[in-house]
Amino acid sequence: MGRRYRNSPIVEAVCEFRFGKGANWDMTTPGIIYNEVRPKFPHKESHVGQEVKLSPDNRMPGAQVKSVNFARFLADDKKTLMQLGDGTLLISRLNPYTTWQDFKNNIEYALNALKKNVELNSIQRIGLRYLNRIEVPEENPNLEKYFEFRPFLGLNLPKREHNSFIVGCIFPIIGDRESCKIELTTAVPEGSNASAFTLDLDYSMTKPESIQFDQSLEWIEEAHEGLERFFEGCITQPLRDLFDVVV
Amino acid sequence: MCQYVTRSDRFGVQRQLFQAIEQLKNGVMLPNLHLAFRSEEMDSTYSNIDPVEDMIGYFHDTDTKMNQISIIREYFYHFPEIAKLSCEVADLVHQNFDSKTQLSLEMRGETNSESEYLALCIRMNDYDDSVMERIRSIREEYAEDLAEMNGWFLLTTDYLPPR
Repeated sequence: MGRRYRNSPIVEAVCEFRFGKGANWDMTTPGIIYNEVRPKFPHKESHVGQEVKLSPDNRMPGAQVKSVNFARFLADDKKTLMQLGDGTLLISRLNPYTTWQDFKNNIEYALNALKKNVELNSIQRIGLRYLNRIEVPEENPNLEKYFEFRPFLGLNLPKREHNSFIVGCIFPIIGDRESCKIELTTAVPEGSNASAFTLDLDYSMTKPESIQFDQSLEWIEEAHEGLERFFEGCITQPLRDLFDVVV
Repeated sequence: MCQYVTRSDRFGVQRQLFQAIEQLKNGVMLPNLHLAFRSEEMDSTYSNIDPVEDMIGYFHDTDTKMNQISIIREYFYHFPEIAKLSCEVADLVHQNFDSKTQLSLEMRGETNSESEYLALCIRMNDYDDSVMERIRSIREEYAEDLAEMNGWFLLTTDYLPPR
């Protein structure tokens, strides 16, 4: 098990499933699922999002923008959310994050509710993503002090005079069947004389239908272990000290 | 022209992307903007709050005052549509008001209650008779969308000078 922190930087944990469309998944599905999950997610909202589809292989007029309706069910504290869209299930936990076991239980609960009511043919993609908001108590800090994962600026560029940056890397895992995308970017600090960063880790299945439905929880557990390793690989001991490790 | 997109630029580029696609759909030529994506970039796990950081960055970069940034951020997390709307309205204000106009993003009402809402407050050195009329005109542009959203938002002024 990974380290636990008193001042956890996690602002959102998300687990997203994209399914191949089942025979009985239609516009009534969110209502049916809501009745099932109501004891744990009593509040409901409907939202409209926009989805852009671009295919680099097609000519540009193939680009499509479409409105996507999704239902959102919220737990009493409004920090744990379940979202159902067109063939997608999303469970997320906002700050304050409690424990992996809590979050995993919610994933399992939502997944079972869906499985019980909808015929799910295949899993196209699973993603487990953690967004961390990290604030350090100094302006223009030396990034080396806090991050092992950071932009490399060489010898001839000014080290601490950039306004903002974005650095990212995609790590293939298990022969390209899975990957972990890591992004570190600057963010707007809340305190004065402080700097803020977003460390975004997104572990996902990259080959559709590469696992069976009953393997999904096992996959998530492994993805979480992978994410813990990647997260710890991104940060240094002074940052761990700021997060305050629980012994 | 090829732009490298930093996180705080992304909100602006996203809007340009939508505009470009709309223009394409209407048979208009592409604007002078080339957007390069890695296919993986488009295939991320959905996040409710990732766009919020871009929008906070947008307000920060446009010198909007945010005295309660942590509370505003929390409100944006819960009502991302309000966050997006407030950026669009801020854009309209920039188009319709003098460049010396100051914007202040503020939480109003009782914290964590249904009366809590987000206000975008306009502050200027000189208020003429047209100010309220221009504010009402912008309000009319977003009223229909706002009615369908969770959360609440108001464009207003307190007739004070910039702080």
